[in-house]
Amino acid sequence: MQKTAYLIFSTRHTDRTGHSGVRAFTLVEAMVAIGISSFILTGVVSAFLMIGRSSTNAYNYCVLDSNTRQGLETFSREIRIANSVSAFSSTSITIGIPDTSSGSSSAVAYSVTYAYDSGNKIFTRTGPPLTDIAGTSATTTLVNNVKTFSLKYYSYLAGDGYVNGVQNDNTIATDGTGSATAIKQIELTLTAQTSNVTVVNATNAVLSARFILRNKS
Amino acid sequence: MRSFKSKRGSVLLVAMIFALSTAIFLGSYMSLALQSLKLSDRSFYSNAAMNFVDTGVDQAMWAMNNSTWTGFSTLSTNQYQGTFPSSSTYYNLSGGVKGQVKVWVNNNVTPAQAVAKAIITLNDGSQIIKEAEVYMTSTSYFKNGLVAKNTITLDGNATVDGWNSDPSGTYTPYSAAAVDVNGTANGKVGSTDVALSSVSGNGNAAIYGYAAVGGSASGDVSGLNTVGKYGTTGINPSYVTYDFTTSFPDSTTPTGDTYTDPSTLAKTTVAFDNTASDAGYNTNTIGAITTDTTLPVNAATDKSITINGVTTYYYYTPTANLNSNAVLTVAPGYNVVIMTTASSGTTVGTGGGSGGINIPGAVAAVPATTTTTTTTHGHTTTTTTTTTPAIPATAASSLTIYTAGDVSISGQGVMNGGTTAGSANQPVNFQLYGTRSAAAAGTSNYQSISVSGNGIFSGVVYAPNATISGSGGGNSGGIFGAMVGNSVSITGGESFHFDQSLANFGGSGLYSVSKWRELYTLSDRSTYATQLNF
Repeated sequence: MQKTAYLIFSTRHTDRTGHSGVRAFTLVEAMVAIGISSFILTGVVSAFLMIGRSSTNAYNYCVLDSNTRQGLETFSREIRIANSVSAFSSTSITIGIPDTSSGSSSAVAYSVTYAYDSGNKIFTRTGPPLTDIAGTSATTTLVNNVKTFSLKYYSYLAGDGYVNGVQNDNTIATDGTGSATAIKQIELTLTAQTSNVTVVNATNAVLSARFILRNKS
Repeated sequence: MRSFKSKRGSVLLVAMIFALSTAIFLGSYMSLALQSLKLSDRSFYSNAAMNFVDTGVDQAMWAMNNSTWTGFSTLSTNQYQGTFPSSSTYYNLSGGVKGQVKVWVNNNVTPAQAVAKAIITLNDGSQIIKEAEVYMTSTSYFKNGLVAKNTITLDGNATVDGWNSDPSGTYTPYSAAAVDVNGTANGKVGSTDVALSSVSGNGNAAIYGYAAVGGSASGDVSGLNTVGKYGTTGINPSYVTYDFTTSFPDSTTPTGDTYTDPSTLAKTTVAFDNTASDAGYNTNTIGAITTDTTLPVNAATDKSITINGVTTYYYYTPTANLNSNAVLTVAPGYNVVIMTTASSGTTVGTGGGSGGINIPGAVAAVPATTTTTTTTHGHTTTTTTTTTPAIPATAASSLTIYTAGDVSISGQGVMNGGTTAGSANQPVNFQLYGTRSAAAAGTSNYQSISVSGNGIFSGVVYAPNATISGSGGGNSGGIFGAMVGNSVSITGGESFHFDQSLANFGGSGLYSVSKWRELYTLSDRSTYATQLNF
């Protein structure tokens, strides 16, 4: 028997005759060792898988969080400065933006549309670039993987304060059919979700503040 | 044996590496979670910072509208700085987060400007800063057409609609074609009254446009056949708003002539000098006007003020209360302002009959003509050439009246231009200001302003402490312009046509935000770094 084999499969042993030697593991010893090893290896593999999945999930969450924050920031900036609403629904709004340069001119400089594309599950902005309002209008994606989306509009009623919806004939309509002139505040709600194989879905729910259209009369 | 010993501790080493990996992972995850929490906090308080910015803008607006700079210190002429709630106190938010807002106001330019800078300090000492710049313009007394503190009544077949008399710098008289049927600012009627029937009517009375009331009950607008888009019937709630509020500052007799450049909005003011012995004497004092009178009395010798090429004659008179059939005429092409010194009784009136106030309209230029006549007598032929000299164009005249007493205009009424809608002067050519103060009016002693007579009344009336009644007479009559009073009633078959161009007339002394802009970039913020460095 080779020495190396003793080292691996045997233990040093002294028999009854006093002769020292090397004897192999018993079957029970080997099974116990294999069992313990398997248990440990399973734990290690599971831990690494868990770490990997969690890392991917954390990455997905970070990307979602970053995208939604950036999208919301862009949306809120233009909503706040808007001075008119030319079209609106629960999934899109077209607003007029006054001259954003320094100076007192408040004429509408450009219009921009924010919309939810339910087919492609994206929240988009269509208008000239923010950094070049004289540039060509284009559609850019603000948030990907948008699972649910809605825009809420608020108008003012004396005694009731700001209420969800806008005046439409004899009712306060919440379906975007009312009068755009009555819109005072806008709120955005969306849920973005990413998924990867073997990884739990990362979901980011966004409920914005109510943005006041400060330049709108 | 040695090699076997060298592998001792390998499991421990593996375990430590594994534990370290796990610790790094957990630490990263915790850090990520903490960072997300901070981001969420910053987003939340970022929105709060915008609210603080609005607080600062409100402080500036209040100070501008009241000319009271409580909480501000003077930086330089007409420039003010203020920290709110104060330099040593804060607006406290939850979790120990606190904020302040710094405001700089520049009322030394037109339009006036303000910049608000909100600073929110979080628990960890980090700050969120938001800044916004606003421009504030003086609003027009007449931007809402027909406005009253209390009730507005439209009787009979009275209707309200709107048109723009000055869409492109050229006067456009009212006509059916000029009516704004699709605009969002056609006829406008507003009452700050909160009682039922603040805006009311009967019969076929209609407002083709918007009605705004201070109350909140649907019955605040009642009895009208129509409130809504031109050509519709019924009261459309989309055309009724319940949040209407506005200020009605007292009107006062002017102390100077002011011109506002329409492009730069820069103001030029020439103060009145009422002392006849002064070299700069620039107003006129005349006796009570009771008989046929033409102003200027003598254009060559009467005092006047000229700004930007526009000459205006100012007259102080006790009253302009004409006898029956007497006519007060403004000479063609002249601008006249009458300021009555009496403040009770009827201070401006026409005696009825064929009397009234006549403000001539523009007269087009007439070119020179040459006529040649040939006459033959026997063998003699005579050729005669007659030349008629050209007549230069004459601009429309204008008349402005300031009075604290009652006004009663009847007879031929105010003939501002012609007697038809197409020939009438632009409404701004006749302005009537009721100068009785709210204190003098008390609760019942309001000025009475009654304008009636000849079919067409084209003018603007601002008398916040007056009871105004208007009627043009007959189905062909009409009131063109805008009216502001304590209460307003339009009666008879009268119609009221709001001149939308009056929204840009200015002059109320009240400010509204004409432009709001958030300052994001370093270059934008650096523009006001000096003004906000306090």
